[in-house]
Amino acid sequence: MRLDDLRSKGRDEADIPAEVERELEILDAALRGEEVPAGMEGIEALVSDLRAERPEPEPRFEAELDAWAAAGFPRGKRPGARAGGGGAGANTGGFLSRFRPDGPRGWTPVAAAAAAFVVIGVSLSQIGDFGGEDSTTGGTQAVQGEGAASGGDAAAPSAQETADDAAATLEDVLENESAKRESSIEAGLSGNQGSDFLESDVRGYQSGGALLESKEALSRDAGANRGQEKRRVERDAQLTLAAPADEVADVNDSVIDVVEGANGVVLNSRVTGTDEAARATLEVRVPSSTLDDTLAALSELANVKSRTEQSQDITRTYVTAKDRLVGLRAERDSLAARIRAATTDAEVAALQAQLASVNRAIADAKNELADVETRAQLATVTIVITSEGAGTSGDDDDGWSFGDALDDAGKVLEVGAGVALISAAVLLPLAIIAAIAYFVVSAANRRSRERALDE
Amino acid sequence: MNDVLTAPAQAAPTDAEAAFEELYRSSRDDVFAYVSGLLRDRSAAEDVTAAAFERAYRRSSSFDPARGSMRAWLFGIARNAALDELRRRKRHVEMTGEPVAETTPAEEEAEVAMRRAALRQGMEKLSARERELVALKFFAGLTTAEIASVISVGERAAAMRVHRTIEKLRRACDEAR
Repeated sequence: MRLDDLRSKGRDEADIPAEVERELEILDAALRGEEVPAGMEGIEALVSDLRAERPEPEPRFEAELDAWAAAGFPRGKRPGARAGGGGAGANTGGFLSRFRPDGPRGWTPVAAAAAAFVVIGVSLSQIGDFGGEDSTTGGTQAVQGEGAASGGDAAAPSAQETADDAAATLEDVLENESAKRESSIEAGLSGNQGSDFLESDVRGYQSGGALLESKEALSRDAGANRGQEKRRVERDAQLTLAAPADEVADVNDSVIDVVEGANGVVLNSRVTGTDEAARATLEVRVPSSTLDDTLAALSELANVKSRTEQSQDITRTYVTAKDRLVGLRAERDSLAARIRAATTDAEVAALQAQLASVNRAIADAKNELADVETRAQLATVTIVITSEGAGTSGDDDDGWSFGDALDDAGKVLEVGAGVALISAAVLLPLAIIAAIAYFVVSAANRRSRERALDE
Repeated sequence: MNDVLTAPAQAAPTDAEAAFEELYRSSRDDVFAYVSGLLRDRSAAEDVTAAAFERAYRRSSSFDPARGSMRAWLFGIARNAALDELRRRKRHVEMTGEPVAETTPAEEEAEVAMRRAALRQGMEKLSARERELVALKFFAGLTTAEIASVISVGERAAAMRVHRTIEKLRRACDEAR
């Protein structure tokens, strides 16, 4: 309703004079063909004349309209003097009017189609997200760094590996030479051999002066390159497989075959259970470089229920162990030199005791270094093989139960609710905008129509 | 008019179809008269009348009895169609309106003939809004309540507007005599 209408309405409804009401009643009576009171013949004549001026449709148009109505008002067959000429009175929208739904309810299919489009789009996007996940059932992967030096490139070869490898080769050569000397010194110093042997050994030690210098140089280089040490990454994994109970033992054997084929070792293997319910547990070590291939091969043996991998950068641990070994060796060399320079038996005995202690520490450091190296080179894999349906929560093809159905139903409802929520978040603002636009357009259209009467 | 809205092969019409058929039967000529009186163009009135019934038929499910009679609802649709036609005329070529009921029977008495000539002159002095009220009241035979519903004003406001229009028309007729 326009503001003018409201003002006019308020003005009109303030008071209606009684004579006006009476006159309108007489007018209605005249329209109904009833007699009018004496003195009101003028109104009766006016009504009569106006009724006589009433336009009547032509018989032709009446017949056409009746036939069209009987046919259910088919589109494109509208009767009328100008029908089909593009200028029909109500068809003011021209070409676009063909696509204009009739009234607010006519927009329902359009709105429903838009809503369906949004819902389908949201659903597809969610499906796309689901599809982007790792296809491995329950697969997870974690990478942990050790200290600030641990980076995301722990598992990847660094750009300096070539130089590091060359340094490691030289280090290996020096360590071999050093090990020979250590054996000689330990043998000479620990036994009750004469000073001749000691002296000859010391001389031999002296002959290795060039090597010692090289080793010191290497130690300095190692210190300088500490921040560029080749990455050592420890990897381990857990794999849970499901197989029929009577096949668990066979799968266990197959796992062993795969591990041995990958140059790995089986640390322990245990199979328990019956034909109805069985379980096997294995702990194996495989070369870290072949871990991915080995896990892939193991995953082929049965249904994968879960797969977890962890990686940890142990470069700092390795460097610490190596530095400790280098330091101990330098200490040992120093003691050997002092023994050579000792002048009294008591002094020699004291230095020998210290040397023995350092040698034990060197042995421990070497073991520690070897252990770290082994951790980097061999990955530990724990494999659990369960009989299907026993102790697993997966969706087995053969063991689908009522509980699984409930789980599936819950997941479907969860996804459906998510899709509905996202769709509502998209559709609600659109619906509000559409509603506002509809009312604005309707109001503008109404005003425009009313203006058509303002000549 | 016997088989309106009921094709021979179709089943019996539903209540809604029967109601619309009754509406069509009772309102066809009234709608034409109203639209023709508003537009003063018989050709356009035929098109608008047909369009109004088509719109009403397709939107029949949107009729809400709580908002007025079905007849008022139909005339509201016809009014919109007629106003659309008026708008179209203003945007495009001005139509040459056909005179409505130009002929007067030869046997008509001189007094009546003179009175109706004055009435036509008086009608020419009415605005489009006033002509619309005359058409709704005298050509279509709508009640004041139905007129109020069609032109979207209160019933008493509609009554006052009709009264003023009649007064204006009577004065115009008196002046023309």
